[in-house]
Amino acid sequence: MSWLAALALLPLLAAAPIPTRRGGRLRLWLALVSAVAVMLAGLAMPLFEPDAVAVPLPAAVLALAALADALHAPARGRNAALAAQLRLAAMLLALAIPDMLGTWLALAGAAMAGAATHLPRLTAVRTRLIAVQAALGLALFGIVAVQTGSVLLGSLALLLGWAALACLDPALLPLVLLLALRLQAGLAGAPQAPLLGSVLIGVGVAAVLAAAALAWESHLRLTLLLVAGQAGLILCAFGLGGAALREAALLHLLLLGLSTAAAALASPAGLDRAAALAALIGVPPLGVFPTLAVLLGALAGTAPWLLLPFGLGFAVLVMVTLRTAPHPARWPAGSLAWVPLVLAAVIGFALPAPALSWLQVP
Amino acid sequence: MNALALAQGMSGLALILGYAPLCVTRPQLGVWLVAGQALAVAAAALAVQLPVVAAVDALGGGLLVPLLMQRFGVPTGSRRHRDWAMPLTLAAAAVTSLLAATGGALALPLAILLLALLQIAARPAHPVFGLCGLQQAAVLAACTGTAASPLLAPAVALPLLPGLALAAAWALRQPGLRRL
Repeated sequence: MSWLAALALLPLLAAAPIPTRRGGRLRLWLALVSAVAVMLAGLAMPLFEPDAVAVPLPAAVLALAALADALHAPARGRNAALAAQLRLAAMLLALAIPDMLGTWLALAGAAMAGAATHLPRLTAVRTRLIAVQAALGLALFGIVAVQTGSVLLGSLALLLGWAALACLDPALLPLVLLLALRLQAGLAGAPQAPLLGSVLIGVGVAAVLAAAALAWESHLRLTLLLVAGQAGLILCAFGLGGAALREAALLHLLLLGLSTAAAALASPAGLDRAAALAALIGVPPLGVFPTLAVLLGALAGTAPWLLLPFGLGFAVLVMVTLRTAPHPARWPAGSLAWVPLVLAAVIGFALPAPALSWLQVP
Repeated sequence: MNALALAQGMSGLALILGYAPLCVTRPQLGVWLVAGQALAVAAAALAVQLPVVAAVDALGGGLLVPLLMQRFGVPTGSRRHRDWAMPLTLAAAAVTSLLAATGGALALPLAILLLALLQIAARPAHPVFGLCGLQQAAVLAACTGTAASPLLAPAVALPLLPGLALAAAWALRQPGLRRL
């Protein structure tokens, strides 16, 4: 996938002026422009190159994650801003490289750069680096185990390593989900493929229950926990298999990215913040609602027992969100958060049929 | 001596050398132990007729990484060892030895992996020894079974994880990173 690798040049170009310029505002604008450029270039690529149909979705979800991350830390220092751009480039390369070990190397670069976004707080960076390297070691063991025939142990180690990386750096979550789908596609012909499906379902259920438990304990980082709950549902959908369910899960990932960007753009105590949280939960007709309905309907038809943990998890997340939702809600003037929310509504309810061919992973 | 028996013996030695850093407080002794573990895994690779893997692991993990740690110092973690956690740590390490006794191709590599993770979690002053153990667990796993690609085992034998740790430790010492 040389087209995805070509997109990795955009954040590197945005990173070039960072070491030579001062001013946090310029660094924030460079980060935003870089993310939007990656997204637009990825969306436009199939129009010029018919072979690039698998580029728009990964480019869009990774760019949205980078956008949300930049908005959560608008006052980054020079080194941290540079690390954020390197992380985006490495994430695009990780999906562009077909070989598992090459992907692991690119993911290692992305994860280390993600830890470096906490500079100049050296203690925080050092602690994160150790945890990141341990997670990478677990993932490396998983890759080796999968490629030598131990699919169950290998996929479990690989998914746990990737999950740890996503917990340490939430901007890596979309990449981890796409890599999980690619792993499943790579093992589709293997006799132990159903085992991987079971592992994905198990990890998905664990993710939503863990997110609910953490949210009940403390409503801090609520946005991240809502995203984690939805990510668990996506993993479960991947595990159940089937082309239609996979497309719905990928569309859910895209809508989740738009809702996360809306949450990052929203003011702290306005109506836009409440709408963004509602979009993350899937309150109709906002955000992830269209695909949430499809996925839960598929669970009800294929594996009804899964509705119990997901119902419980989402119920807890909804209760915590209602408890912490801003009130009385103020209507903020000119909030940009409505832009991704409107986009999510358009894509969720009125996605053109030809665009469905873009719902795939390289 | 039977090659399979030699490979199993060397793997067992690598497992024992994975326990030892849990009890070590002097970093220089830890360096010798991780070098010994890498050489044991290299010997196991040689016994199963993977000379390239053995050479890469012996040179990388057994020689280069310990030399770099001797030259530039052992990277330290952000916290001190917790002495009160030693009995619990040793008990958890003993439980992992049950894995090695279960048999199966990946029992020993999995036990070394779990010991390495325990090293990182329970002995936080020198987590690099745990990362070396993680690398050796992956190399040993690559030497078992039949990999889809013949390049997998030699590539995994490169000291990737300790290399990342040493590079990160060097980078964090640069004065430019302390500035905003």
